Amino acid sequence: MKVFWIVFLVLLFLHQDFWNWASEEVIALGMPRGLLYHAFFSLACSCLGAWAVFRAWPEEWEQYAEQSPEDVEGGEPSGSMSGSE
Amino acid sequence: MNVLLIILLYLLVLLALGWGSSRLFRGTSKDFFVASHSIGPFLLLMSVFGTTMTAFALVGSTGKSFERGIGTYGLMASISGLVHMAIFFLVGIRLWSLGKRHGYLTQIQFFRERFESSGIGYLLFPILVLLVVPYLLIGIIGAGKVIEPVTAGAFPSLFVNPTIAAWTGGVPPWLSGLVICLVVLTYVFIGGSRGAAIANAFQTLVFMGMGMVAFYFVVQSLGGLEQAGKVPLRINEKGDVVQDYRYEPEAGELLANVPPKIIGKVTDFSNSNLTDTHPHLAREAVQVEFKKKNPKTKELEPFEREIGIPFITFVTYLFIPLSVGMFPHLFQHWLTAKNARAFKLTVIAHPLCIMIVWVPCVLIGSWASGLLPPGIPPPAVLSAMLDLLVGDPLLTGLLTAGVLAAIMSSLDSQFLCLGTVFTNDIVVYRAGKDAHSDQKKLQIARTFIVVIVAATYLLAMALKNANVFDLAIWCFSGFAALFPLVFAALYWRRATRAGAIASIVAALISWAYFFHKSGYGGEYFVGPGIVPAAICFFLSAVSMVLVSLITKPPTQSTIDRFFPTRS
Repeated sequence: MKVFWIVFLVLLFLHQDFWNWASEEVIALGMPRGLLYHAFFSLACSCLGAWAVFRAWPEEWEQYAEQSPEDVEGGEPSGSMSGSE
Repeated sequence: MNVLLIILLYLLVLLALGWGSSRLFRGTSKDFFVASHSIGPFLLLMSVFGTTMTAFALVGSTGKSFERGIGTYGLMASISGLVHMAIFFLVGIRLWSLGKRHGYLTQIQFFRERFESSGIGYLLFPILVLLVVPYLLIGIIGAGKVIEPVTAGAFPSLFVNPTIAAWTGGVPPWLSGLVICLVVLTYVFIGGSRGAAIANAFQTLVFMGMGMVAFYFVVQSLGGLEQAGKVPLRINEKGDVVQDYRYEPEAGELLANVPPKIIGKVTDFSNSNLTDTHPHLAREAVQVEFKKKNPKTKELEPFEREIGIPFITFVTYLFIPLSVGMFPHLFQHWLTAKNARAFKLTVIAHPLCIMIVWVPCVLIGSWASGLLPPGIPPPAVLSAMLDLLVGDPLLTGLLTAGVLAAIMSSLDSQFLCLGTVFTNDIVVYRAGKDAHSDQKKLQIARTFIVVIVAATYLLAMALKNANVFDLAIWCFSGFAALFPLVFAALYWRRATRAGAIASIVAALISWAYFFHKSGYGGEYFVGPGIVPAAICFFLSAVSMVLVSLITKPPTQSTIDRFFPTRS
């Protein structure tokens, strides 16, 4: 998860691409630099998502959802939180 | 008339889908509310994406780019790709797991147990409704605004009081809004959340497809992508804003304006770097004065527009997409997932889906700046470009169906969500969970959905002239301000009931203050261009932390229950 957070923060910084701010150069496919950069940024977000899914998948949460109530300390909803309380 | 037939055909297909999905309905309230946790990866991706994208994705993005240029993509789309993906992964999976494990159907059920408080539910309920209702209004008002111009002339003797004279004979907003509400109501009523998910998937494919079809035809008409890139308006050496090209529909080609047509003037031309630039292709903020005709006096009146985006606005806008973490209708979609693995496709593909829809629309909007009059209302830019460059009723009809798809794929989830929240968090909660039979719960939910659809429709008709896209940003800001609540609930064991309440109150007060300052729904920035959502978020987060630290921590059983793993 540490890697996910680090890459997330790096991407958050890269999103603020002040170095492209004044550029209007059309690079390819009629797309100016700033737009092409952010299209690639979207691809990078998808890659981070893929990395998270394949390398940092929260198995424990998946198992927690599938376990029967008796298997887990804390158990089922207590039912004590009713409106008449 | 052809346009109207295509729209009607599309609505009939939706009703047929609703009927089809009702055949899969298992007759239980759990199936109605969360599809018995049976939705697989593809349907989950399509329904989540369709729900988070409103009409703003097609119509609003094009209009915003027409005003501000290509920076619109980074401002709203690429940052959403990053933040939404992270929220699905960090928040969505945990909420799904806790929801499935403990049997939650709504956000409020989760917060009540996590923060050991009945009152938090009663505090959150009106706030969530208050924030979802404008979101609903956006859809209904938006649908009316889209359909009337494209059906103009269809019934000249029947509809004689149009919104503007040029749209005489077009289907009026009251009728299109009513039909849209009835269609959505029908498939939600009979199919519940599975019906909404199936309809959403279909509608998401339609609006993604229509966006690409519109882009293809626009590019063809402009002579290819390279040529289209030269079309946006330009600033000349005198500081005049000029259009270098015009499109001749009869000849079907793009022609150079000789000399270039002057349409405005840079208000402060001291910056010589602006000479010969296309401000829509960069993000440097430039103030320009244009003129537009006043529809009443018929005289030309000046108005100012900022092209480009101030850096501070760009940075602080990242708080807006945090709203998806608190959307109650998205919470419900997450709970429909068959298993945690169903989230994998959504986490990976959501940023790509955003890119597929937004990049073409943002490009069309920036190109439109060089071809359309500057005074055209931004929401009309996409249809005006298609009308000018393609002029084909079949394509216009299909694109209108695409816009309606984007609108209805959000409306259905929101109607269903409000019915679910009211039934479970108010009626069943107060009466006790065994006081009503399953059939009775279904009946209550459906009745409330009918009531909320009727009330929202009437409200939409009363507010039909509101600027729906500015309203959308306020809606997202409110949910974004509440994000610290859900994040702390999931990631901070020390978060307490008092901290949660303080966080909600801080978010509500700060949001209401800025909403008031904006004139109840207008565009509003703080200081040098800070988005209000950033300040609301900060106040909410600080309140959560400070108050939690000075109040009694949650009980050990609650901590065990909500933090079952070491991670």
